Amino acid sequence: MTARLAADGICKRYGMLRVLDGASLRVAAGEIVAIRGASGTGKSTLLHILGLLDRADAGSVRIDGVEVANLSERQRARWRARRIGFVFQSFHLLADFSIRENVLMSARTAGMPLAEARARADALLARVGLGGRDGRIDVLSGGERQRVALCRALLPRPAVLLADEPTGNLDPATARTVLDELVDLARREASAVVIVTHDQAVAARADRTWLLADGKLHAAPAEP
Amino acid sequence: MLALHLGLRWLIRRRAAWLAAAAIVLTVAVPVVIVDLTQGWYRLVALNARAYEADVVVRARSSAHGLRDTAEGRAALLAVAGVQSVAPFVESWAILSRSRIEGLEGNIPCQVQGIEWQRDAELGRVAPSLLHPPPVLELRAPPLTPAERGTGFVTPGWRALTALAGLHAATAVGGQPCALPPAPRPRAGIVCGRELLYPYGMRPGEVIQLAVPNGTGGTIGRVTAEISDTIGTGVLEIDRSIVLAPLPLAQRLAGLHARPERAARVSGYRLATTDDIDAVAAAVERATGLAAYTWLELRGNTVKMMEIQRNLFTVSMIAVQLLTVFVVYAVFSTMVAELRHDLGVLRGLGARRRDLAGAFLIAGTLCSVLGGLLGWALSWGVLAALNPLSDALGFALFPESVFYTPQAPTSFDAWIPLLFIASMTTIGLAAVLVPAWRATRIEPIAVIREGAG
Repeated sequence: MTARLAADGICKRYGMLRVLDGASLRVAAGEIVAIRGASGTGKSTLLHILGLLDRADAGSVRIDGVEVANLSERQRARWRARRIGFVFQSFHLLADFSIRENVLMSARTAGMPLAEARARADALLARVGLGGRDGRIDVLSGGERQRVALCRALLPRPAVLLADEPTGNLDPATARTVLDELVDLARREASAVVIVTHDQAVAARADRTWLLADGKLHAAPAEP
Repeated sequence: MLALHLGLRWLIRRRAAWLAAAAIVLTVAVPVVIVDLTQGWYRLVALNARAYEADVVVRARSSAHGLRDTAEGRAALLAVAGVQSVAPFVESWAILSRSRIEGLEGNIPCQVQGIEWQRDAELGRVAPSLLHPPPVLELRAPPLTPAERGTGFVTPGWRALTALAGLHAATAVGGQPCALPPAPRPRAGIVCGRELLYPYGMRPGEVIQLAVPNGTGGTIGRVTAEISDTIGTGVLEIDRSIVLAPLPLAQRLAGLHARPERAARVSGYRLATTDDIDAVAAAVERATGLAAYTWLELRGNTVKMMEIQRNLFTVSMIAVQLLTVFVVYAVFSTMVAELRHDLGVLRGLGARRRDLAGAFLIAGTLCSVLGGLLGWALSWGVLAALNPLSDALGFALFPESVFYTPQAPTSFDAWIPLLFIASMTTIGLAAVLVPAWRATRIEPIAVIREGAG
């Protein structure tokens, strides 16, 4: 299977602390990969490097076969806007904008035609149960906010969807619903999904699970 | 598009931006009110100075005894291209005193101008609207009723004489002689500046003497005349010194009247033209060899002084506007700090640095332009309300005794608010530059890590 996202030999250190030491990963289109590990092992750092938010000291990152690790700042921003979607534990929605405008923001940064983006935003919001709602962000529950963030991430049809503890701030029932939607939508869009999580239940929904330890990714043993 | 979208939203949603807009409203409104008033004053002075002056004034180059006033001389001036009308004048400083009959109660220096009424009327110098106004500064003697005072040089005595002459003519035509009263001997009428007359307790109808001293205790000329009317030009220096007299009377007073050995003389001629006044003045000089001055050369200093004053005010107000840099800078720096999270997230979503900088520059520009337009509306509202409010409160914001104008000289020149809006927009934009640059320096990874909990 061709990898949409391929990372090889990613190294990263903060001063004397070596966080990543040759981590490698491949994720196919529509595949969902979970990364687990103890706190401080570098899961989020790896996700930020894969999402071109941070730079690795060494190693390569390819998206759809294109080497993107060493691009200029401007090119990295363009790739983030058009090819990478993010879902964060703390949502990171924009308080000055409505629900629909938050979703549309990724279309605006990606330079999508607005008419098409609006139709797609409405469809995505309807799919996650927020159809017809366009109020303020601050009246939404945590689960609703995460769904809005999910719609925002998926709107530009990203090649790669990166989720950092997407259900970390949600109660178990809401977390399950959000995860169902994430998995379902990502598979429909054929995105390569990487989920960083502590949650066993979340990892269980992934096609493969990796354990990050000693700066390297190890295939996690199958859960009973 | 993203920059416009973000800039507009932040401008509407962030109350700090309203504070900047409020500061901009004030720093446009106050300068506009001040400079518009100065402009109104400048225009008033320019209008008054222009209104009572002729386009071109012609004088002899060197002779202290004026010019020979001949029909050929006037025709030569009228023949110059662009000259439409010619009005002779005699100009002399004189002493105005009360008639001996009533006893001398004081000597008043004045500037006598001998004119031909009809010719000056053609120049617009003795327009009916300027005649018989009450004084602005002081009224010690009550003005006469229209029936009691004259009009222009026509005294009540001359009016009665004209009526009698008409009656005589009518009886002669009708062949029915009737007993008529004896014809009075009217005096020559003169018109005095309103501020010259009333402060000394005089009023139309009074008989006065005019004398031009010769410097050795005698006089060059002395005449008795009756004050027939007053004139108010709106220029204080004219209204408190001028005495208009019929040309022959002024000629006798100044010693320029016809004598057996020489023709009557005048101080010069006033010319009217609709062409370029500088070109006409030059043409007159070339054609006649006389000295020709435009009204700007004669009275331009007053106008230029006001112009300089207005320009100084304008520059000072722009300097005051510069202080707004600190307000706008502080407000937008605060906005960048408040929006740090959103800016980082937007960068994470792939927004370009120039989109974020553009958003703040657009917000700053819109803030300046919209604040400036509101300031424009506010300032013109204040200007429009100034005089009605002053009248309603009975409180003269611009006392006539000081400013010699009945109301605040408001003006509504669009270039003034447009200038201050333009300068404010430039200043606002400059103030936003650094905060906008700072907004682009926010690293998305730092913001996202902070939110990772």
